[in-house]
Amino acid sequence: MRSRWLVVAASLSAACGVGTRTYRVLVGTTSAPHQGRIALFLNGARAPDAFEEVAVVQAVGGDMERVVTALQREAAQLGCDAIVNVRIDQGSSLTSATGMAVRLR
Amino acid sequence: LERATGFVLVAAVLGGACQTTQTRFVQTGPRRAPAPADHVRVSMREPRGAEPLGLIQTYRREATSVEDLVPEFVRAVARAGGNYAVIDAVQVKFEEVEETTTESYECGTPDQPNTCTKMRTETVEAATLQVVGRAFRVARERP
Repeated sequence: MRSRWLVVAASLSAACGVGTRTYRVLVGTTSAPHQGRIALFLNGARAPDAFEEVAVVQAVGGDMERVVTALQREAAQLGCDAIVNVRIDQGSSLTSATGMAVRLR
Repeated sequence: LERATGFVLVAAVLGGACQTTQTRFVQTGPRRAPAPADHVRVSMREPRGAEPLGLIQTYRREATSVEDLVPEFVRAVARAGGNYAVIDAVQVKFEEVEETTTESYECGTPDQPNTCTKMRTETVEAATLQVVGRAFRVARERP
């Protein structure tokens, strides 16, 4: 089994040795990187009422743990402390995680 | 017979499905004139007091990222006359599909050149990225 995504992901991040790629679409204002923990709220789970949306974020890679960690790292770089509406899709060789990076109020 | 050796030419790669972005719009509200896409706000929360215009689905086979698809989703909201895009779901569907490749190669002799073709089928994991949401019209605050 081969995967086009895996080839793309591996080639783009070969320098750091991790086959995970992240993406973002800004919908709000970024701020200084967040240093603390990034809370995750899965799609369908009750999320906090008050937050500011910053970016749609996505990570694609080989396994769920690395993908979720990459998603949190991406959110932290945008100055966010949480990701809401997190959805994880699993293939036979790839995992994708998406969500909205937010700043809790 | 002296066998001719030569390059194997990849003649065609048949992926099966179309790889362009597909967008569908189902109108659920009033018809509005198209709005500028750069005025569309994107959110995962429904706005209060907004006018719902319709449902939008944008998807692409072998899509790489939300960076490709969300802008198209926003343009679809603008075409529907909306200025507020609500993303309800971003999902990736993985499926195993058979991909057929046709290769051409020289198989004749120097006296009788010939070209042969060979088809190869393999299973690959294909991803389809989809963004589903709704278009809204929100009254702008006056300065």
